[in-house]
Amino acid sequence: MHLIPQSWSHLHILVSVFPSVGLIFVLGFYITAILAENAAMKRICLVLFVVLGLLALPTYLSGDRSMAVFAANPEAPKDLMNIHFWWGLVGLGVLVLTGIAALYELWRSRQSGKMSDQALVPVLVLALATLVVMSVVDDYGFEINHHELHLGLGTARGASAPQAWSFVHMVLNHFPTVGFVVSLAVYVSALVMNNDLMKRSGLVLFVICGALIVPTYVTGTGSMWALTQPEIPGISKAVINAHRDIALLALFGLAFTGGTAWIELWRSRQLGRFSNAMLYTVLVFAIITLGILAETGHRGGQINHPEIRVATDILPTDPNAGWTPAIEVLINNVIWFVPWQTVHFLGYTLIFGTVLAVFLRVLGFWKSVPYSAVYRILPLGFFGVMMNVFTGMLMMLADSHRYIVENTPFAPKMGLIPIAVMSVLYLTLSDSLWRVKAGEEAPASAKAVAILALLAWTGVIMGGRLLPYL
Amino acid sequence: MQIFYMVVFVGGLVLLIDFLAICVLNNEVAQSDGIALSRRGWRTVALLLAVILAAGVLYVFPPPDAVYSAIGLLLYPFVRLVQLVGNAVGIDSDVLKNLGDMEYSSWVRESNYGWAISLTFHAFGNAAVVGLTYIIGLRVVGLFRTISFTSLLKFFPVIWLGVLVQVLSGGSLWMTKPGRYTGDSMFDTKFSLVVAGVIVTIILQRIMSREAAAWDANGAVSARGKFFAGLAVFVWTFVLVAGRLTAYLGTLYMQ
Repeated sequence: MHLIPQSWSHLHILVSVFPSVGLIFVLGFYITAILAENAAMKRICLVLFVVLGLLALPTYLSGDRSMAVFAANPEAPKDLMNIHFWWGLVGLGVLVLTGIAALYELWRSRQSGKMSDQALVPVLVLALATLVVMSVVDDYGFEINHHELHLGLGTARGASAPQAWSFVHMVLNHFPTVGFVVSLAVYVSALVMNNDLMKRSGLVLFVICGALIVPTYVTGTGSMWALTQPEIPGISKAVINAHRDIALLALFGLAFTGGTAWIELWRSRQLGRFSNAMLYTVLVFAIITLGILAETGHRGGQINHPEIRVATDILPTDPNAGWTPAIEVLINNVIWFVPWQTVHFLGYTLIFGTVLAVFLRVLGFWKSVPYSAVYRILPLGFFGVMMNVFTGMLMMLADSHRYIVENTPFAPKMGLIPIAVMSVLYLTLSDSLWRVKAGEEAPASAKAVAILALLAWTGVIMGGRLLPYL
Repeated sequence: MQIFYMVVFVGGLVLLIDFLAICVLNNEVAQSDGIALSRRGWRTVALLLAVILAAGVLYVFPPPDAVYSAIGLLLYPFVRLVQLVGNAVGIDSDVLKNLGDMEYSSWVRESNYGWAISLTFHAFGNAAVVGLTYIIGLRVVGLFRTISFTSLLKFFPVIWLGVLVQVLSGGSLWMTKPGRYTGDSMFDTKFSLVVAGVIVTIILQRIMSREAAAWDANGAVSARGKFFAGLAVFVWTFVLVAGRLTAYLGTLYMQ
């Protein structure tokens, strides 16, 4: 594992995404805390804003030192580095202000004994402003090393896949990784503080990270084609394959963590309490997954960042080595492909049947049962999703270029999966829906989400079924 | 047929794991038996294990061709019946050819969207039927106890809508090459299973319409209710499996 950075560039790559991507997750928590009026959660968010504010220092220092090292290279894009530096200064400045405002509110609330809404809003505004500026900073930062971004989003140089895959993957891959770190921090705090709302929020974030890893993995495979056919100087297929090997483990690690988190959310809703055994199982899965994600991120960084390589790094050179190419060969054999494909079909029938049953109840066509009874069916669809994530990724590996690049419906299918998962999360978490008794109408918001869930899963299934034809 | 055994082995194993996990979760939230399975649950597990084991044994020790021929003979009465009915209403190879030559058949076969749209509708029809039948089956096994049996009768109109979608979309697909489909062993198997599925579902619906209130009152399902619910799950699952294998076995797509 490579958790400890060994150069300024390495440290900069590692910490610089937290002020933007990490901030999105903290902001999500913060807005939830304000809406839920949960003091403990507000406090932990303020602490996280302070931590992010403190990260401005290593971000600045590591960036400044990396620039000094980088400037020695005659091919370094100095103009771009300057623009990135100055925008970075502005962004980090606003981030520090956000941290100071959060620290002040923490101090003030400790003195007065309660949080003030008037004081919480400036922190929110400053955090949003930081996010906007940091998006610009990140965009310029990405362009410094990622030469493929200069090729445009299309298929310049006769690439077998549009560079848009690389661009989307570069942005998207930070969400399940950085988001996972923030989620784990909040989750550990929740366990220490024994705060149920925070535990639930942490579990929800694990589920969201689990849902995001699917499109992240797929965009990664798409970008592999964009970067290797034809080859781009300095980018090695063997190094990409090493990244893909561990990324597949990360996918399953996040799917298990998110899946276990969902089961505990579902379970605790009915029992009215969390199970410590389940909470700590999620924690163990999360810690193992964090280790895998760290290695995945490191190997991903090695693809386009020669400056982070150290003497002890032995980079692979054989483009056919690793177990991802081996799985590709194995699954391409009809004796393996057809069973997994059939399980995939069984999976979507479980998902569709479950969503249909929930839809019928929420829309009022099956009002004779309380929602809490229909809620019991949800694991049937959940196991369908787990079956299909596993089998779907294996099938995709069998012929990834055809699935991802040549088949139009694959991208919308992947885009719809997080939406479909979010809608199921709502159906799992909604208090107003949980209270709907036999014969009662479900709230209008729940009806809208049930329609969204049915449409999203219909889109996901339709995208899969149309794959060979469009 | 090796593919078929592998499909049943892998699919059965996955469904067994799902079933056990759902039982454990359901029992825990019901705070009834801890993680213990009911007698019906154990029977289901035993049945699934038997199917998985049989598939595994047959994969390693495939039976001689004569066995397949004998199994094929089981389909013969049904295929013969279809032929007799076809002949009685005047459907012969010329009629099949004319059906295949229709403008609609050509559109499904040759246009960019006809085949894809029909196949997509077919998938949704299948998903609705299999998915809702699974929920009924699991309820009969003893899960989801807070859902009354009488309320499950509401599923049947949706299941029949699913069957109708399957028949219409499946008919559209069949019309692209009716002659070839009709003579294909995998298609004959699938078609036989669909007819069996429809008959079993009709019987299950009739049983539930008459007995569901008593099941709710007594908290126990009649033996024939259990049998036909289990059979419906079994048959519709194999309709899905046979549909998938139509693309890989037989003579229609892969030679």
